[in-house]
Amino acid sequence: MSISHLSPNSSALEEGAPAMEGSFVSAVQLTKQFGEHKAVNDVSLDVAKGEVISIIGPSGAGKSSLIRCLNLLEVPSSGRLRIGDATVDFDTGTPSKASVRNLRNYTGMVFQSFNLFPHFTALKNVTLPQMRVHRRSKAEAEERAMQELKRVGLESKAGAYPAQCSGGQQQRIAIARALAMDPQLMLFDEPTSGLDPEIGAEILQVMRKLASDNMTMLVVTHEMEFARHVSNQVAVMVEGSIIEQGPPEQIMTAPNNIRTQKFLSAVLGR
Amino acid sequence: MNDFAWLYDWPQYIPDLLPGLWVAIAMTCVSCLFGYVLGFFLALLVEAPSKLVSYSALVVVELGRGIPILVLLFLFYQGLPQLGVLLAPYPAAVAALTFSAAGYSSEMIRAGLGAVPKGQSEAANSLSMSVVDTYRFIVIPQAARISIPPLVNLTIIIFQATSLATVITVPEIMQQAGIIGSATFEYMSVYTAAAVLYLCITIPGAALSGYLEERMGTPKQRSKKQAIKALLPAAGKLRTAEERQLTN
Repeated sequence: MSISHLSPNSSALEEGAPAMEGSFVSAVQLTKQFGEHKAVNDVSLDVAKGEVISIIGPSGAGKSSLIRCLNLLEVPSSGRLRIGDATVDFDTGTPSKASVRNLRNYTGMVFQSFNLFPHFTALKNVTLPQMRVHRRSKAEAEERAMQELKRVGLESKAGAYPAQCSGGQQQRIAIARALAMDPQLMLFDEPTSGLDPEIGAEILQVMRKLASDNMTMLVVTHEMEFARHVSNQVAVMVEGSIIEQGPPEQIMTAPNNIRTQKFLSAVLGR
Repeated sequence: MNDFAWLYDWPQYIPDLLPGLWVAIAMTCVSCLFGYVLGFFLALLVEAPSKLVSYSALVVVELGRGIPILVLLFLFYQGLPQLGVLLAPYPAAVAALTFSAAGYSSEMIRAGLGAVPKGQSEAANSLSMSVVDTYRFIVIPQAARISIPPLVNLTIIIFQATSLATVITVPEIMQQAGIIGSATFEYMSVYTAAAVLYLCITIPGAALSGYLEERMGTPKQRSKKQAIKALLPAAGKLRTAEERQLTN
């Protein structure tokens, strides 16, 4: 079941998007198998540059597995994946280290549990990966880090350790850490699920800003408001497959699939 | 009266035993250094994806942990010559202590590595950091906080175990004490002096380990401890000291 599309309202397309088959990310028939269980089952997905896609669905549907497949934290069992110029074919065995690195360099990821490095200050969390991976000098990395911390409104927390920051602050630092690596695709794995709603709102605010800066984003979320108002596309995932995908208004108000209707009526309470 | 002479008599034997103390300390340092490095690599090998590698490493670890040091000493000193490997007493003792230290430490190091949440290396991966960098900057520093206190304890145990090397004629404290004892028959005094020398190292060592355990807790654990201390009025002084440290 392959749902390909081109986003009609993506302004980034006209601007600087590479003229490669229209899409920036193209996953073809990705499958991730854990033993007998297919967490991701034959999923195809295209994302245009600058597009924001929300992936919704019941827990255990394979949403997290899917986006973890996109930066190869989980190596898919079969299928093909292209991000920008990096292509990996999983049908031909384990991908090489170089191809994994190429692909990952395009992506940044934000986790549900933040995963900041607890033994480093916020600033060092953001500078160390830049220095080790992009070989930036300390001064260069720090300048960039402060830029990103400012972007998430936390330049005052640069010297603080993660344990001295609130959950919402930690998540914003994690976003800054990912952004400082110049990703062209941001993956969000339930970024607000570990936070109370009020704090979650400040994360969503940062993500809104990113979206309006034309960042390409894939967001696994239970925040229906965000899915509806920020994303260009909503994909509904059930039992490892994307059963329906379309503009948020259509999915939210007039879903075609009976299981989408069931899921939405459960989460939206109607 | 004579029966109690040892109570004030023993300090005079300390100077004669000091050369033995240096030998014991040197043996401890060398065997722990080699042992913990070996233990670190054994820990990595036990976690290796290949079953063959993993099980072979585990066999080495279990031999190191399971065979008493006294048996190892005899094996290396008296057993190996039969196979054509002739070791002098000191190297034989160091080899036996190293082997044992490697076995025990590898499990402590493995526990430390295993206690670092999986999300830490996943985050490093997602930032394109290499495997070596991920271990060097992210996993090992956090694992060390967990592994170092038990490793300090193990060092104290290895130091005490150097006393066994007397059976293969290494001139450490017990060897010296035995020689003096058989010449003077002042066994009570001379062995008391020996015991005091061991205690001079082990008691500060235990205190260090306790301090490190307190110090090296992750920031989260530290604040949990603080919360407990806050409930105990007597710990008021300690609490302010820690708070000062935290705000620094």
